[in-house]
Amino acid sequence: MTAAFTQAVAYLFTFQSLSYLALGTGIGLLFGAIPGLGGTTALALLIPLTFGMDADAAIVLVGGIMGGVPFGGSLSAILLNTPGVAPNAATCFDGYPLARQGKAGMAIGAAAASSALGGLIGVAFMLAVIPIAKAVVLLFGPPEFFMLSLLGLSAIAVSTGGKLIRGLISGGFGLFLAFVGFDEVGGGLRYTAGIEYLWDGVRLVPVLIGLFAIAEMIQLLTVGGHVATGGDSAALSRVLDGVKAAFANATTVLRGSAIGAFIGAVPGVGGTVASFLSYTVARQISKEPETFGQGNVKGVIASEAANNAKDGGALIPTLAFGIPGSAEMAVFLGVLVLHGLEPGPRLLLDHEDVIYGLIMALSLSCVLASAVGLALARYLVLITRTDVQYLAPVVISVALIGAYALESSLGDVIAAAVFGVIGYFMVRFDYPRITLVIALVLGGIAERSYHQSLLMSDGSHGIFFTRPVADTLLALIVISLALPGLRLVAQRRKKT
Amino acid sequence: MDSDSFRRVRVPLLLMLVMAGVLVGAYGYEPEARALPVLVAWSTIGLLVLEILVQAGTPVGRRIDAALQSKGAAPEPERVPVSRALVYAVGWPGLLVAMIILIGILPAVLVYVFLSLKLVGGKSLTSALTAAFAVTAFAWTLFEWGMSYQLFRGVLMGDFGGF
Repeated sequence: MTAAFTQAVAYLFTFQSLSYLALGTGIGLLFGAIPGLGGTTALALLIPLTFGMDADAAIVLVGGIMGGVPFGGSLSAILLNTPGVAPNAATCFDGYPLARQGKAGMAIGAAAASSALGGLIGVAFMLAVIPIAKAVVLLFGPPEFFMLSLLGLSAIAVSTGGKLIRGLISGGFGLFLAFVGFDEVGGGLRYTAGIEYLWDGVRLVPVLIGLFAIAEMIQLLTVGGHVATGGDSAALSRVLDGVKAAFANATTVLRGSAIGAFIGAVPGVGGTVASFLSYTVARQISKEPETFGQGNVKGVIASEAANNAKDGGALIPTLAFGIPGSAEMAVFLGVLVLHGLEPGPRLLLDHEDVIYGLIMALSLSCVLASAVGLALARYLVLITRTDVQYLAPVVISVALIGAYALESSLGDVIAAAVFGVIGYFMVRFDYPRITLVIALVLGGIAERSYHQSLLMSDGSHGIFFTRPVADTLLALIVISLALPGLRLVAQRRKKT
Repeated sequence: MDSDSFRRVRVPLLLMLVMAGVLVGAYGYEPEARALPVLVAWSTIGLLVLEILVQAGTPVGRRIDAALQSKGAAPEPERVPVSRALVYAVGWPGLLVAMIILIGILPAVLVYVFLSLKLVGGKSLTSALTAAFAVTAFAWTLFEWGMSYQLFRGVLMGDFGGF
């Protein structure tokens, strides 16, 4: 192990490897920041470029991309309320309000520091868990996935602060959207209205692009002005304040990273769930939950730490069992196979140096991406001072091109535009968008796991209550739902 | 119910109609396929009833509001007139999507950015043209040149591949 580690370090710190790493990180930042592109597209497009490379160099390049994408996505989430990639959506909730208050630099600083820390913790988690990975992953069956989805959905109830009913209504519509398309259980089509595009369901990324990027730009166009309405967002001190905030909230970083790494390791759940879960947990246990969504820097820290830590976790099933935890990991699996590296337990034994190379590349690229972000922060925040009459048509155009680039589908363009209109009216009539998105993300997982569980138990619902991990998750659901009530009782007692 | 109350409940009423449609649709599917959609639709309709009670300011609604520590009735929509909002929210994005379908992505972006800056933003001809060409050039450089990715050319140009 030590020899393999030393070999990986020696290889990584050569001019060639560092150049590949920097290139990968730069590409990752760019693809992460442009809505609709993301890591999967970047990796898929770069597969042909790695044909002529040796496996080590290809892995370093890929590690750089995977490390750069999450932070790139957070930049557009903070500055334009546009999640570059889906897991950055949770960063919008407090990052963008901070930008509106003229504290974009602070939000970027916090995102950069928590991204780097989250990435490093995620990798450390991977190193620690690899020996016991199989046992942990096997603990999660359909009943546990169902409970995990319910845990996320229950967070809807308490994440809307003062808009509980409207939040739940949005959640109901989000679940409905998740039911659209091919029904995996019955084999039929639901709610497609004869539109072929909807057979595959409502795709998340066009929804996010519409609800956040386009809706926000429409909203800004109707009132004019700039994104930032106050403060001095370009001040360097703000950026450093954000970095300090991440270190001052080390518990939030650690908790978010643990959630990200753990959720990332569970195949099929994904980074979006990880960052939302981390965000809602941070909000629930905060002493000032009402400040979340209004520009609380802890919201940025929680979601970004989880978002960056998830890659370390997702590598566990990908490398150890050949089970990709996400689309990005599936493409990464393709890169490994292309270079003669067959994922599975043997990979860890036969190509230890390559694995350590990847781990180190991922760690370094997280730090590198954050450093680049910090260096550019004071220039990037000028976007928030740009006249919205210029900004809005540009963002709407790039967002729709990004939506098209996803699958070369005009349906995605139309969907993004339609959800832009829906998002605008949700803002106008004060219906939370966050709950719709959470429900859309979790609805499919919840329904699939529900039916699989019932198949396992011959239709008995008892299966959800007789397994230790499912029971633990159920307890967490009850606690999360009870927390606001307990907090209310505590507040009343304090007053009397 | 006075006109003010009706204005506040019109959105939940509209949403209830939509969710009723979802429910009716659900009962047309096989029992397994409709299990969760039916549950979600009934639950959402129940919540919409509560929202209507709250928004209408009924005594029951006020009690619910207090129990949930709600921020109260939804704020009145901002004072941007509906007609103006519709033009911005539906008109301009709709125009861009229609142009994308007809003439393709790059020409549509060029025309949209130019028209938006000139007609909505009131910018000078030079500024509008410069910005429009800059955005189009960026999109072409990134997608078509950098990624060798062919953007949609438009049905008028004989491209039906995006459908």
